[in-house]
Amino acid sequence: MARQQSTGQQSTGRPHAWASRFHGAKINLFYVPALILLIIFLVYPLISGFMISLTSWDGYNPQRLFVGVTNYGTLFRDANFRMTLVNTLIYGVGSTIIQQILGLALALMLNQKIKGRTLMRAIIYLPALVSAVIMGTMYYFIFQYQQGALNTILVALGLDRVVWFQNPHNAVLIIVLVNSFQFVGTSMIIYLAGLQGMDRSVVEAASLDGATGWKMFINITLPMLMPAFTTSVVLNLIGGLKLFDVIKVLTGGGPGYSTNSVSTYISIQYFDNQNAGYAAAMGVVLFLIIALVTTLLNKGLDKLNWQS
Amino acid sequence: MKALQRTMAALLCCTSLVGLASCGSASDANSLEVMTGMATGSAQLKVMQQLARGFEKQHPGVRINLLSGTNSYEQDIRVRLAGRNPPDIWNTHGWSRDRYAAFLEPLQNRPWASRLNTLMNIPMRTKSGAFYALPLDVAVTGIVYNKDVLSKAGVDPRSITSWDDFDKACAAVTASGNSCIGASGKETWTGGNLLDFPAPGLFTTAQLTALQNGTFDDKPFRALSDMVQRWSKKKFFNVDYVSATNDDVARSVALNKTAFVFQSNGFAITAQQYNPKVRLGFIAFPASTGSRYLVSGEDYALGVAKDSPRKKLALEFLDYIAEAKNISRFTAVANNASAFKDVKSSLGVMQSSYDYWVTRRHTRIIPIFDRVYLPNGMWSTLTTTADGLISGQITAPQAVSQISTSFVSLYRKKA
Amino acid sequence: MSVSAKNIDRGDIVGARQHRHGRWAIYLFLIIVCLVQLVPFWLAICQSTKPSSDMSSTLVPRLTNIQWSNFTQAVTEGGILRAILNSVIITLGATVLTCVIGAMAAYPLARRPTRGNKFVSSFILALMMIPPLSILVPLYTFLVRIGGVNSYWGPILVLATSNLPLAIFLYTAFIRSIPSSIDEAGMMDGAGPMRIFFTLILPLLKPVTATVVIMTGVGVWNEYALSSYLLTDQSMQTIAPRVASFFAAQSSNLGVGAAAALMAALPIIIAYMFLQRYFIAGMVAGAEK
Repeated sequence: MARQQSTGQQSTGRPHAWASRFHGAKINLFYVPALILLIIFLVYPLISGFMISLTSWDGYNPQRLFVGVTNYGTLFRDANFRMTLVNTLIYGVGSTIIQQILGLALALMLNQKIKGRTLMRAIIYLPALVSAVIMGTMYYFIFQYQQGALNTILVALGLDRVVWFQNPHNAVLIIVLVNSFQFVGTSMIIYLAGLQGMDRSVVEAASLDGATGWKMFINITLPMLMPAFTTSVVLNLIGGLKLFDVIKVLTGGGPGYSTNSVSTYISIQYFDNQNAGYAAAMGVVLFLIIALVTTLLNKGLDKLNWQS
Repeated sequence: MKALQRTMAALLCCTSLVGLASCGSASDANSLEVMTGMATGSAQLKVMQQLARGFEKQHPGVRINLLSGTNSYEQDIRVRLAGRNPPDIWNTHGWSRDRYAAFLEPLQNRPWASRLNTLMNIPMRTKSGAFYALPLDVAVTGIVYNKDVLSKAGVDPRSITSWDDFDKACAAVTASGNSCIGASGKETWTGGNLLDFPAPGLFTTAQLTALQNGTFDDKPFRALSDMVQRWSKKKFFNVDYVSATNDDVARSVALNKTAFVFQSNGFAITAQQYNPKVRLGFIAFPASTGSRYLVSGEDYALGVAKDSPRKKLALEFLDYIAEAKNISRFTAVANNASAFKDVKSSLGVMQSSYDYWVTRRHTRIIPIFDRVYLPNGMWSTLTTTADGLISGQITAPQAVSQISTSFVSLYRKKA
Repeated sequence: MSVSAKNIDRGDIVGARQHRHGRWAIYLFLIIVCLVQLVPFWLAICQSTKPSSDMSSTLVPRLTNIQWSNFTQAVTEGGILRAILNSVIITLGATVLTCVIGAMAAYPLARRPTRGNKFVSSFILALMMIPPLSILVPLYTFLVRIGGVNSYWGPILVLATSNLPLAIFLYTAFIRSIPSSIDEAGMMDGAGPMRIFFTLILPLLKPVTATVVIMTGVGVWNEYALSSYLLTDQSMQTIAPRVASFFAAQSSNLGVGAAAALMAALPIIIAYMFLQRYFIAGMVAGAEK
């Protein structure tokens, strides 16, 4: 008993080995309801999606012809799939980078005693509260050719109207920016949380040692924000790699196939081209890619954490 | 923290109430589900609502549940078919015969079938005379034009008798500062029509027969792709093609800034929503083989699910809609030709063009090209190929090879 | 380290001493970002004041002769109020379910980090990465079979489940930051794991619950891809599919659509304002190790 008490006093941070002895395996029953729901509503559909990927099903007729892994073979030869894969990575990685830089900057500023900071935090988070379909339509009002906000300003300045999505590169960039700004609030909140959870004594000690400004930021603040960084990066990356609605509303995947992500390309193959089997194969591959990228990144960031 | 506690308590109360409330709602034998594909607040949906209320009055206890459409209408019905849960009645949006016949109840023995005119035979009847949906109207389509834009450019629409004339007209329109052809890169079907509607005039009868037998001939498709590519290179399309919605196209036509669109006459309704005074008309398609023509397609048409447990009631509802006094109310807002002998077409602003081409000149009316000569599934290839050509992402030879690849693989699938 | 709501007002950790003009630059930057975030809403407000025939710039609102009928039409024809009620019901149901089941699941995952449980954790996290489209058709087919289409319980279960992985992730991180001595004290009093969790741990989870409520609530409120199939009956539809029905293929009415979109966003914005105070505090654990 006394031994347990003394270990207990030490264990104020992460759980220690005592916990496994302390709570029997019985407490694992606590996650059974969650597992049941996840298996019924996510794992089972995922597996039947995989089964569809082994057929040449057209997506609505009852007959499904088994074709083995043919669809996966087709994927490797599909130039459009490769292009949409590259786009997906640009959307995922591009938005994540912008969101980290901007989100961190905003968090650092709004963590200070500034007038109206509560309101500003709310405003910056505002677009994340609205559905991406609706938000995308609102952003489209900015880029419309004839009456759009940007072109109105250009015309008022005596310049010519610009077709904002003419060039595929611009179109991809605009989609990245729109997605970044819509969800920059999430990274800001995570970094704010990270800043507020920081150990004050460390900061004060560093301050007494004469650390200020940039030095303080690089040596003290940034390393302590690493866990927040990991959370924020993982959440943003998953969101960016799954990007769908904003593309549908802003460009519909065009010009040509040039702004499609894998998700929007899946919907084209599934519903427009009646290639449900092929689309399902892409879904499986997309899932594996997101899982792989996120896991690798998580592992890499964890290592970085240990070093710092 | 108190506030949070109270919120949580309220949340729990609400959910338990919901649990009770949700037990009450269930679909019963007297409730028909009708998937209309019509937008919330649209004139078409309003007429459907009135007809539903009328039917409910005649049949006490029956409830007609009208579902409004979205942008992804096609996707919606496919998912429901895949889930073996189709609505009792659905709008077949052009595919009652070629795609959904296996799921639909044949209707040629309904009492109103004898009142149908020959216009609907082209897109909807099978060779044996069967058909699978009640046509609320029929699309008879030419090239829609804006009168004021053409007269500003000094073009008389009736003088356009060949595609060369069309090019000259476009050059004049572009020179006068307006766009010649309006299409939407976001709703690629608007461009797909450009590879579809003009096709019959570029194919010889022999070439068409060969196509039906699965032989792909590059030449006419090359001519077709060249034409669209040429229009793109000469900048005949709306500058904002890539990002424009079809709504933007309608606005541009309404503002007298675009001359032509390749869409059915229903387009006039959208344009008039923005400018009720816009002056529109249509011309027949030029043809290098055979005489000039208009294309006819299935427009709004309602089919009954073959396996619906409420099939009898659903068929009665169709019978009710098909009554002359009821169907004429729909024809009045559809802005297209009537499918019934005893109901007059009402094309609003397009009426005079219709009278000229159909009633006076008896222009030949032929089915939409891809539904007769191309295998099921090619439509999507046409839309993406046209989009590639218009936006300059692919060249005409690439377009032909894209169409050819898809033709061969889809034809094999069918066989 | 323990976490409390007091942390929120603790600022000034970084760069405590700022120069005067530096302050101004910060204000300027923040104001510009805020404006950028507000622009889309401003455009939607402008659009909602106009009839469809008004084709003036999206940047300029109508000041006279405002088309109020856009709003009344959204309510009468679009059934926006009913849709808001449906969204409230489904959001509340799914959120409560996610919080309760998610918090419970996180408890053993945080307290008993055996090899098996670590595997369970990463398995659950991986489910976050499923693209909705690849499960849409099988999921719909399954729900049709069990009669969950056009019901409240169907979407509640589905949407609660799809938000569980994130909730479990946040709860696990938070529970790890709670000293285990609390469990131990409960144990000494002879309480079982059930009682320890519900009487000792659960009350401490308030800040992270606020975070989960916001993340899940916003997600469910705005869910479109699955809801538009699970709820086809207009009287059962939630706001996202309802607003989308204003933009159908044939005709779309931007004014009414914008009015409907604004009305649909209002409840979630108000709810956020109430919960914002706790939001950041709940994230702190997720941002720590």
